[in-house]
Amino acid sequence: MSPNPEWALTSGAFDRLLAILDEDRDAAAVAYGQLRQRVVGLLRWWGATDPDGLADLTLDRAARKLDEGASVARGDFGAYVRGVARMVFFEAARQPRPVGLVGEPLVESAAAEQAPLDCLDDCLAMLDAGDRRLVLRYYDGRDHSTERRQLARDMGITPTALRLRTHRLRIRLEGCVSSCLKRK
Amino acid sequence: MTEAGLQAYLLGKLTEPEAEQLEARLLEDDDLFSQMETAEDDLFDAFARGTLDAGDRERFLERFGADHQRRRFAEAFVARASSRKVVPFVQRRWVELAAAAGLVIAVGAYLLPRGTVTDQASTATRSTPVTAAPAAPITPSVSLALGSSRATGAPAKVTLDRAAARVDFRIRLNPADKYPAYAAQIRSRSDLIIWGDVVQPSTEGGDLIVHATVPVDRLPPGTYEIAVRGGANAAALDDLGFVTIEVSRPQ
Repeated sequence: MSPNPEWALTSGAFDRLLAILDEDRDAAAVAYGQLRQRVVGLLRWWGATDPDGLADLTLDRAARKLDEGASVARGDFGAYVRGVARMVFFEAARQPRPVGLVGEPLVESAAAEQAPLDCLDDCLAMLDAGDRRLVLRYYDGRDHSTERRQLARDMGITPTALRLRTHRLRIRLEGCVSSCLKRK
Repeated sequence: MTEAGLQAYLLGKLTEPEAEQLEARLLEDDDLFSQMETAEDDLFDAFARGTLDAGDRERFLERFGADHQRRRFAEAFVARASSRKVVPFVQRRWVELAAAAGLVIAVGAYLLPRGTVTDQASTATRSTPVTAAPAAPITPSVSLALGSSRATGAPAKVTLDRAAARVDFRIRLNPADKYPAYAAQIRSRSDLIIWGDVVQPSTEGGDLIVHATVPVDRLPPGTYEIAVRGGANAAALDDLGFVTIEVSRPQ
């Protein structure tokens, strides 16, 4: 799948990428993980079928270009990586891929419709009561901005901290439900 | 950036230069990226709730239609999260006993004269000479307390005798939830509303109680959720909480 299978990430290239992210190597490693997650997000929003694999290709290629002498100002690094990701995405999109059922409604039996609810109930039960109340309230479908600001005030935390916490809970629930459905 | 702006990006409604600029920022701005992730969650939920207009639904399906796993999760999640007012609830002694002992509440197993409909009334009636009036099923009372999640604890087990015509669910509310109007609903596990009505509050032994008197033929064996709603009037009710029951019939 790699557009350049002959090229492997070298430690020198990786070090150059880390150096751009942060002067401190440990902090740079953390920043690398965060950057990778964001590239995965971008690729997902573009509709990539393998966002994780393409994110790795993107960062490998960005590192290679830096190692080959590309110059990127610190403030332009986001745009630079975005450009590389876009190229990787287009190259992957040109590869033939299986025709899926994109856009088709989910048509399932009654039993199959019930299974995600049952799994979700089980997964919600595994959260502690406070987290369970929090995630259900945060995503309860009411006026988001007002309700969520109020919720953050009630909890004495920032809206950003609340958003991160509830999103993590949701990801955890999604993973739990997915595993549960595979077992059924 | 507003949530509408973020969702416009996710639905492909921004121009290419706008999208490109936003994407570069997304790679550098933690806060903006987390906002976008939440906007994406909300978009899946909005699709599952059916609140997107036709154009946005089409755009959503073009971009995210193949993500069956997340769509399926969102459908289940909105069924649990929608319009729930989550209320912390202090468990009282009888609730604790019920939970700890897996109490089976057997109801309707006996017949009493017509008009004997409550525990208090039955005491009075028993001291009165019984007339020859034909027997009718009692409406027994089952005490329950609302929780904040359907998944909280084990369901209360309710055994309904076939002779019982109705069952009176005596539901204790959070004392802070005093409203002029209340309604109750019973939903099946697949979220079908199988019974619903306005219910009246009363204060019994210092507790705030509503009674939901439900025909037993609406409750074949199975698991149900009772939701109680309250508000300023019948047109403006919010969920106050819910309790799960497991109904069975004696063999």
